[in-house]
Amino acid sequence: MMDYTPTPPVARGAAQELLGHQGKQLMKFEPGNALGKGRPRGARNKLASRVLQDLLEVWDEPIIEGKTLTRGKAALRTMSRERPSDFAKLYAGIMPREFWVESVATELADDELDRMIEMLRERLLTAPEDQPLPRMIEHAH
Amino acid sequence: MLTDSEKQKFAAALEQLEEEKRRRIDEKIAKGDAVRVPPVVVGGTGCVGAEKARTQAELRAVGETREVIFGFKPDDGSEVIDVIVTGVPRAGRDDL
Repeated sequence: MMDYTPTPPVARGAAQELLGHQGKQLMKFEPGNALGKGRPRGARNKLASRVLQDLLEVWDEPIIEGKTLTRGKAALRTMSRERPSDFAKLYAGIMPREFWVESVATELADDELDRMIEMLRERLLTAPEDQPLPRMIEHAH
Repeated sequence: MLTDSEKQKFAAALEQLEEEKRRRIDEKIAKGDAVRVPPVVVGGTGCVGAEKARTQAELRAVGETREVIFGFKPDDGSEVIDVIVTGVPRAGRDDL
C-alpha cells in the first residue's frame, strides 16, 4: 500500500501565494488566464505525422536496390503466406466492416474466396467459444 | 485469443464472403456454367473431400463438363447442405 502524506497547510498556502490565487480554488482556470494554455496546437499531431512519415519511408524502400518491390509490400506478402490468420486479423482490424461489403468479396477470385472463407471459419472455430460447423448435418447413432 | 469486437468483424466478414459465394454459384448455374448435384453422404468428416472428388470423377466420366456444385438450396431459404455426415462409416465409401 502506498504511503500518502498530505501537503502541509503551510506549503499549500505558500503555493497559493506564489501563484497569486490566495483563497481561491487552485484547480480551476479562470477565463483569460495565462498559466494553463495546454499543449501547443498540433504538437501531438506533429509527432504522429513524423512517425507515420518515417514508417512510410521504410515501407516504400525497395527490398533490393533497383527493384520495384517495396519492404512493406514484401512484408505483407510474407505474412499472408506464412501467417494467413494473422494477415486476415490485420486486414479485419484496419478495414471498417462496411468495406468488406463493398470491395473485398466481389474482387476476390473464386479460389481466393474459398480460401478466405476456410481461413475465417477456422479462425472463428478455434476461438474459445467454439461454434458448430456450418452447412453440415451430423447423425448420432 | 480474439476479442469480441474481432469476432464480430470476422463473423461479419465471413457472412459477406459466403453471401458472395452463394451469389456467384447462383449466377454460374443460371448461365449454365455449373450444375447442382445432391449432397455427398459420408460416414465421417474425414472423407468429405475424397467422396466429393469421387462423385465429380464419376460425373466427368459420363461427360459432365460443367462445374459441380454439391447440395441443394432448401426452399425455406436456409443454408445449402452440401454434406451429410451419417456417423456410420461404410466399407468402400468411407475408406481413407
